[in-house]
Amino acid sequence: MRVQLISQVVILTALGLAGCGQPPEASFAVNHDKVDPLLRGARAEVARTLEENFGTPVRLVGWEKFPIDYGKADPKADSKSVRSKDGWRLVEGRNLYMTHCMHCHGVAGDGNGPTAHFLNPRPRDYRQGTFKFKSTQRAVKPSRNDLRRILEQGIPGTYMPSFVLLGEEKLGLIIDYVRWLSIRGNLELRLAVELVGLGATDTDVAQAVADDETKKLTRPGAEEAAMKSVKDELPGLIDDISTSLAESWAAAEQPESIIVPKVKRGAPDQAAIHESIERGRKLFTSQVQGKKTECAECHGLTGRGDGPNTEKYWPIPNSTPERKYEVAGLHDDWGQPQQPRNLTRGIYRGGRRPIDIFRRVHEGIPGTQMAGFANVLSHDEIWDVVNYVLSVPFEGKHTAYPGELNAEKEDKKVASNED
Amino acid sequence: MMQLTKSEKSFRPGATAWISCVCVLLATSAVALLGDRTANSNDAVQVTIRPAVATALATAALAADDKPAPGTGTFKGVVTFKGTPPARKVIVPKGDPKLKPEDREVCAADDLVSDEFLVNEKAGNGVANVVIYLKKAPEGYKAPPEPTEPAVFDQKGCKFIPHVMAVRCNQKILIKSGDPVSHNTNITALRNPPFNKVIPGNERDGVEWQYPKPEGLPIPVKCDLHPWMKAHHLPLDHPFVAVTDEEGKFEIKDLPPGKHMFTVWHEVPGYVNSLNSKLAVEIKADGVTEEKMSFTAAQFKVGN
Repeated sequence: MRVQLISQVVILTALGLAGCGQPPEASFAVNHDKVDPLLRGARAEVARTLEENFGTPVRLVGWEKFPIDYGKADPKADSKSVRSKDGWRLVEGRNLYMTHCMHCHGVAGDGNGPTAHFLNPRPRDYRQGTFKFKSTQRAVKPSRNDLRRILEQGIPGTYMPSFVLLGEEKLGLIIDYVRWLSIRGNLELRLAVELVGLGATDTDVAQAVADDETKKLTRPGAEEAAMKSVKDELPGLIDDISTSLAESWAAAEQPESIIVPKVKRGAPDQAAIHESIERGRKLFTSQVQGKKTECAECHGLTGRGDGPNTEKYWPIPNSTPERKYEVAGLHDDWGQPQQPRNLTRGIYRGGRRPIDIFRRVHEGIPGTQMAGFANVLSHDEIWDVVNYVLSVPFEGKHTAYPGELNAEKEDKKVASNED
Repeated sequence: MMQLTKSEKSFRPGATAWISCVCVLLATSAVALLGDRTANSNDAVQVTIRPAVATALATAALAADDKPAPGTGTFKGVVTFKGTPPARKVIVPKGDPKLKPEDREVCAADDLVSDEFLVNEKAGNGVANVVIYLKKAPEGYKAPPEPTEPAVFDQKGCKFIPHVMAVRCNQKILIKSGDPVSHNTNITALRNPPFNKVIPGNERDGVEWQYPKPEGLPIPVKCDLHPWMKAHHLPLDHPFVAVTDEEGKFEIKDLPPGKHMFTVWHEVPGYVNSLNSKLAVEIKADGVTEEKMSFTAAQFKVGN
């Protein structure tokens, strides 16, 4: 009886909290930045496309076009088990993602989970399909191994912890689910941008009515015309975008996509390493003719991540007419302020192995203003820069710089920038 | 929600009501429901596998009509500015003290004026760098192979040359530099992979790049070492594009006869004059269609 009574109280409280009826089903958040400018009908087409090809967080749809291992049904599995069904890896990946990742990265992988607002740097938004720390060429997506490395090691200097304790199998499930989320989000983003390009927006329709010299075009008529072109173009657009996404993720697994140094880093010989560090320092500080790296423009002459570029006001890309960011300093492709790495701290987000830093210098960092130096520096020279970068945290506080680089000059330069 | 109820069996039957309450409570935080239940989900698993549909339809349509058009037409004309053109902005004054000494010599040897909006008053206010193009090749049209000649994208005096460049997909682009200082060429495209490489000083051989996919709009190219440097690239899978020259003139040849919808784009307003930028043009076989376009400051969205 007592259990019954308590349960009644709990039911009433629960109803009070939840309201009457079914609680809402979990859903993927809409990419409002890109989708909202569209006409209502075009927004509905984007939503329908996503639901048809990807489902909802509860009813997942795995589209075989993409290079994702959704998991084939295991005939030996218990018929009640999830593994007895095609697509079980996506389901289990979803469950793990919701437990371990969603809180920061969001249900839709939009980097906007409940915790995201309290984090700096913010969690990665996968929808652009841009990932910073990887072994592949800049133009190529990260490989499964790259994502596994991030999951196993975490990202030092950020809130991304290591998930190594989940074990290899579970990490594999999460990796495929994240790849799937990124493809879903990127398809939504690109489709919305393409539809804006077709003129399926409120502003375009209003403009068409205003511009019509015959004065016969009405608002519903203009909307209908815009929606007709949306419906005509949609199948082709979905096919193009999904094909290109499938190809680009498949390319990431190709061995030729991975950056491999042509020369070895060299033996850890004491004298040789000092010479290499010295050559690297000269390259870093742009003292070598024809090899101007301009590293110091962002990272600063002392590597503190405080170069002159961090004090400029930068234009917002694609803003017409051009506007500038309100905050001085560099911004990433997600529009978030970012600092060039402070190299004196010895914390490297993409990993501290020499090969990690080699790849950062060779290809740059996607989504940021860190450019690749493959055309400026030979692989030997990149190793020199790597050796120098790795030595920066251990430099004496008062390392003497050549005359033209001393602190006084630096101070004067900063002063002259201020006027 | 269903997933949680599965453990009911291990409870006393009398407790089922209590358990369902817990379920309702948990439902208030819907996302929390999708817990780590990898091994034991015995309820209806909601997942569908959608087959990859081979849509060879569109490509088949293109390949079907292999015959060359009987005769082709030319579309040419001029884009002009209505009114008094705005003064060109000086983006880097001569000898700008804010620049580093080596940049000052190269970029600020003279006043560096913006190439953003070029009106030629000597040539009847012709507007340069307006892009006139077809977003898609006409139906049934089979584009000739892309030119083997590489497109050259140069940098001189801390400016990109040309300021606006149309290329064919998969056409080789050589990114060069005639400046002694380093530049970085940073390209963020929609359909194509990103590019951001440092181009060493006096790079005359050129760094290679190409766009595998056509873009719907010209894509911005910038240099982060010299933030004022801007340019646009428009890769297309057909040759029907023209960028107006310094007199505002353009010419597109070899067009199949029929009605074409041209897009008119300029970097300041984006689409020039909104939907009117979709220019319907009738092309006649072996004929020349001429179009004189003139837009006001408001249509170009330039302050005067």
